[in-house]
Amino acid sequence: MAVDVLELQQKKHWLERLGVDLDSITGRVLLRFLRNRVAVVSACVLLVFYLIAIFAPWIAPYDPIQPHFRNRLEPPSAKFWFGTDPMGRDLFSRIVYGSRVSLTIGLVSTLVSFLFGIPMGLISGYFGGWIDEIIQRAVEFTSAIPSFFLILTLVAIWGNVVDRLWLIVFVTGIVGWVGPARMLRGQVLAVREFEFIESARAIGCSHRRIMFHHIFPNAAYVIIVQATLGTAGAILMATGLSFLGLGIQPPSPEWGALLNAGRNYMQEAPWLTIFPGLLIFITVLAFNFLGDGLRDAFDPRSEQG
Amino acid sequence: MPVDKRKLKGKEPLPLLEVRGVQTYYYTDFGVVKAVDGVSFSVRRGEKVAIIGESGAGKSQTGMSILRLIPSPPGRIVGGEIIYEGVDLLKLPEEEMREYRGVHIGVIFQEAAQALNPVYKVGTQIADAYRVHHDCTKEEAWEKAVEMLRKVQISNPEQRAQEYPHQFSGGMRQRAIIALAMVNSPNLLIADEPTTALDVTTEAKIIKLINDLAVKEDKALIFITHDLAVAAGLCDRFLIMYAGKIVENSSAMQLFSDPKHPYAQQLLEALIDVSKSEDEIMAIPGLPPDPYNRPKGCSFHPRCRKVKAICQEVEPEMITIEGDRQVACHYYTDYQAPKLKVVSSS
Repeated sequence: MAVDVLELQQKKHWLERLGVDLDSITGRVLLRFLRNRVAVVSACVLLVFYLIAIFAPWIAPYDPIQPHFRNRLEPPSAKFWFGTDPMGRDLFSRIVYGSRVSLTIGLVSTLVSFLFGIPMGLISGYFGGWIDEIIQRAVEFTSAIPSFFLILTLVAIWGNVVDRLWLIVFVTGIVGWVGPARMLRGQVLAVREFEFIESARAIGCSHRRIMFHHIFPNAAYVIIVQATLGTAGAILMATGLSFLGLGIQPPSPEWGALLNAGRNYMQEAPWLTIFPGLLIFITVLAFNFLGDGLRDAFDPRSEQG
Repeated sequence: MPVDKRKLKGKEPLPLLEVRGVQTYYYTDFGVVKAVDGVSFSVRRGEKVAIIGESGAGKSQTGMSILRLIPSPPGRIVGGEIIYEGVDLLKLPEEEMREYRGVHIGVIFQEAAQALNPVYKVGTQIADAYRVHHDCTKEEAWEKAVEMLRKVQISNPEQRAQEYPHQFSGGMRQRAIIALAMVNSPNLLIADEPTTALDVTTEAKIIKLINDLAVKEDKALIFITHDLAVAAGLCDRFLIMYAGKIVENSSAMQLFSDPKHPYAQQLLEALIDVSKSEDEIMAIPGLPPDPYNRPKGCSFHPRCRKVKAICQEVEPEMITIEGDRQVACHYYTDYQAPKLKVVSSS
């Protein structure tokens, strides 16, 4: 117990030195989040992954595309940390570059889905009535579309015309707007009943101001949780497509594609499947833990002491 | 029937607010609820008017109708006129109506769990409310917010403005809500049960604050409450509402010395007096009518102790008596006022 209190004091101290107002909602959420070790570790892992993706050219020891046939199928060693593939390319370098593709897909498709989902959810929940009816029918229509097969079809049609990376990103994003829209709508329905909303109207605020300035900050937490889970889903979708050979085309490295390429060498070079698989696993797991941690941190009922 | 007061009292200046025959109906799946059913009254500059009634009598709905803040759907203001300084608010487009909210008419809400936005600092909220209607810098608005907090007697306002609502006590939050309602200096304040959530001591302080601010700045006040005793110490004029209608419109003196409508009489007798024993406290028998199915004739007749045949059939009209006093009852004249002291909260 004493150690816990000491630790809490220390965390408060750090946050204060970072200039975080501990009385604000953000400050309190952050403090609660920091108490969840698994979530904090997950956040750190993801941060490291994203940093690796950003600084890939400086981190990768070898060129990820240029073959070196003398080094075919080398097992992991000090020289090649994750071993090499059948074309003699360093797997570590390929994974490092591959993270750029996979993590970008996750991030950008989530951003796209939020770009559509947030205004839709806000408008739907705030105005209600026939506007809500129309948007909700659109939500139902969109969620009835199996997005994986939609992308498969679109890749088959346009796969050679447009860049598949952006095709996947935008289709997942556009199909994905229903998640945040639905979650946000539910929260908006609850928040708009609070008295401060009526008060804002009585002061003469416009609908737009009430929606974005008063309702959104009070409802946004469901979106943040949804964002982490959605990103994990998008990454899984993209790696799944690549694994089927319909995603990002070789030789550009992508985790799903790497997994697929390693499949034929599972007996002689298991590292080719283990490392990409492990990274997909860790990333998706970390996003899910992060989402759970954020949900708990935002939920005031989970507050202890 | 709406009564045109200007015809009755030609010498008086134009009232600040004139409500004429306003009808606010809610269209639900179960039927039509006539929340406000033909309410007429006027408020002069600097006048303090109380709207008294049971829960569901339509007091808050009347207040919200003035600002056109009826949740729609299902609610709608279907009839009447709300004339503020010569402008019919019900005819204004929404954009122009917004300029009246906060600037001309301010609302003091009840200090409920979420009456202030938990995400923003108290000072920020007041400053933002100011900036909605004034073109000024953030710093100027912040100064204004601090000044408002000082005005509502929050000690150490510079520091308190930096705090969040959850760091305020109930009484302080209510003060902040008053500051929020008054930051754009409206001429008419609508206080919707502002002290219901507070303890008696804090309540008295808040009432005194509202009174002081209204008197000092010559603001008109519409005070909505179910608590006659609280309103007695504050208001000049009383509107007694029952089932969506005003049944009596009297000055404070007239009401407390000689209530005319049987409902007003029974309300006064129900006032809790510590000198009375439990058995002597008179509750009004029965329940307020079902809003979907109000009784024929006078809505109050099932609970009225003076009910006569005509009450069950014909709805009484608002009758003007004794100058500007109004009452809606078939038999108001045959009543003998009981000896009652004027109850004052201060």
